[in-house]
Amino acid sequence: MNWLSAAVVISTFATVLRVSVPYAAAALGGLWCEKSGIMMIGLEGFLLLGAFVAATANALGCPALLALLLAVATCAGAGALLAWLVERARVHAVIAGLAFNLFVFGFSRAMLRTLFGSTSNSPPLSGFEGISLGGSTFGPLLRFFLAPTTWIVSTLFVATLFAFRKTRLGLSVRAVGENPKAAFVIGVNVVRTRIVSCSIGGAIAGLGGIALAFDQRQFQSGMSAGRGFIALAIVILSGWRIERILPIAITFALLDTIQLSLQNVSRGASQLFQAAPYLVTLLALALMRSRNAAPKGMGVTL
Amino acid sequence: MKRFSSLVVALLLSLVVLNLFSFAFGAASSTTLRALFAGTFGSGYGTGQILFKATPILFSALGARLAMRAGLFNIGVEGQLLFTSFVVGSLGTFLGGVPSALTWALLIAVSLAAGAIWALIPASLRIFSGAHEVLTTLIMNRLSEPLVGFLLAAFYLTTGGIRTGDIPANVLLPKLDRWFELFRGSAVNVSIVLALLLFPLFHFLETRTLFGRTLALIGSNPDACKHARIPVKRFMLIAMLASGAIAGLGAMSTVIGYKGYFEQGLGAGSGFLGIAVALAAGESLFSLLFLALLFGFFEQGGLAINAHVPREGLLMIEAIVLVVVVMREAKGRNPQVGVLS
Repeated sequence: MNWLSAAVVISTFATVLRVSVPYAAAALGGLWCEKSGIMMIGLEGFLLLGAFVAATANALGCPALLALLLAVATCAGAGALLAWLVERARVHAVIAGLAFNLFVFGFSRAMLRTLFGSTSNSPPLSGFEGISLGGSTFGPLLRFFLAPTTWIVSTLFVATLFAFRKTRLGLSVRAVGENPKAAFVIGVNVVRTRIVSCSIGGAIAGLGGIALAFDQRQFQSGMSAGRGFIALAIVILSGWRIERILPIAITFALLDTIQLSLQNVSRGASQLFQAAPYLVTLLALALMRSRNAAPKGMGVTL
Repeated sequence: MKRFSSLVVALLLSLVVLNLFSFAFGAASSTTLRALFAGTFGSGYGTGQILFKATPILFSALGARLAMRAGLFNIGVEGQLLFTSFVVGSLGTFLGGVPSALTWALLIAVSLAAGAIWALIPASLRIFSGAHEVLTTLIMNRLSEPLVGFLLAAFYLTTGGIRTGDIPANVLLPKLDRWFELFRGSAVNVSIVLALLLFPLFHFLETRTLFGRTLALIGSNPDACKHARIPVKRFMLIAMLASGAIAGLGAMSTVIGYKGYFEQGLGAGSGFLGIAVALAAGESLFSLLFLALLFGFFEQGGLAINAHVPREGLLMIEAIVLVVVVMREAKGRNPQVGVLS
């Protein structure tokens, strides 16, 4: 293998990793919500909300870290609100999720127009300083490894694995998701656990959106572009198991990368490739065998 | 009574939120409200436009409702409408010289079929492999957009690959302003009559036929139905296909009722609004009609106030109305939910 093809392999690999961050984060966030027994259609909304808040704050002069924290806090709040709507106000989870997606889409567009005079995108952002968008061989690799969101999301994977196995909160979340009545009987506050879990999940999914916006150095209307739905499919395909989420997310990122690189070939073909990740998702869902892995208490409110 | 109060609450709430908006965006509430009124009910044209915007929403909502009766969420009506619009748009171009009534009958049949075909995929995934229809239909929606884009790019090179060719005049549906001077210039067309005719049909189907009653039984307790030897899966399949078919009829209003061709983005969003309407309306057909007109009013009103307040804000109002109405309905009731897997 000569130097040139090695460079191509490295940069493709780096791009795949970079593209996988939003998928992985959204799927991990979705796992938190679903493990607690709340069906989560709103991942798309969390991605968009996180991207929007972070991008807007950054474009208006907030330092990148503060913008990130603001966006995470907003998404955590939104997650708690969504769980409250489902658990306390008894809105069906599917309805609440759809309404949330619709709301965030309208909100981001209306605010974009108010703040920046355009409904389609924000002005370019600075993002995190010191990360070059360099076009050299290792540019994409550096862009992945130097982005703080990469490290935060990776750490959160390990933390989640630990939390679900070893901590009181993680065990409560699983208990509430599997059998809310039994959890209630042994003294777990079901509603509160679900609200906390969804707020954690919302924050993590929001991080995916932040990574997306900071990576592209801009917020574009509807930039989550269906990643939230694919993330939900990833959770289901993983059989609600955290260790399987990452490989599946990287597979979808690979498809996405292929589609992006073929976008310049021809318009017709690129459209067809845009459809590819969704076709693969449908196919995978059709062929999936073990469906009884779903948390048993999903959708059961006390 | 409770249903009626919910609708009043929804209406009042949307006015309050709209006022907050105008305040937040620095426009005087009175200016916004006046513009809203002038652009909608204030003129015959505005009223006609409300009805026009409400037409595809009515079809989508009725379609989504049919699946909901059997306990299924057909979130895919947006994609079903998109696919059908493309099919109607491309077939319509070949129908020059055929008697109008014949083309309409043909296109109605075609849109029913196209919607049903697009609904067949999530329906069979649900029935044969157990994949939950909420996720598969959401993905079908995302899939439809690039797929229709690809078909346009592949078959319509002469029109730049972004729209179908022009549909000849004999295929186009007459607009209502031909008979009612009031609606002059607005795009409301006879397809709304078709939508309104579906209401008594739905009422009859749901309350007076074995099929409708069985669907309601399946919707409330599929397990019991299974034990009673009702072919639950077959009914679910039929409900889902019929749901897509009805939703597909929305293409009549936008493609041959208004534009005269199909282009990307035509009628986009009506499917989602239709789902919201069907979910918020619950059991009542009357609420469904009312909410579809209300959402049509929002869509048209958004355009009217765009100069003062961003019209995207109206999407937020629609989301709030949906949640609040459902919240009031669900109070003290334990919702029946399926597992998403």
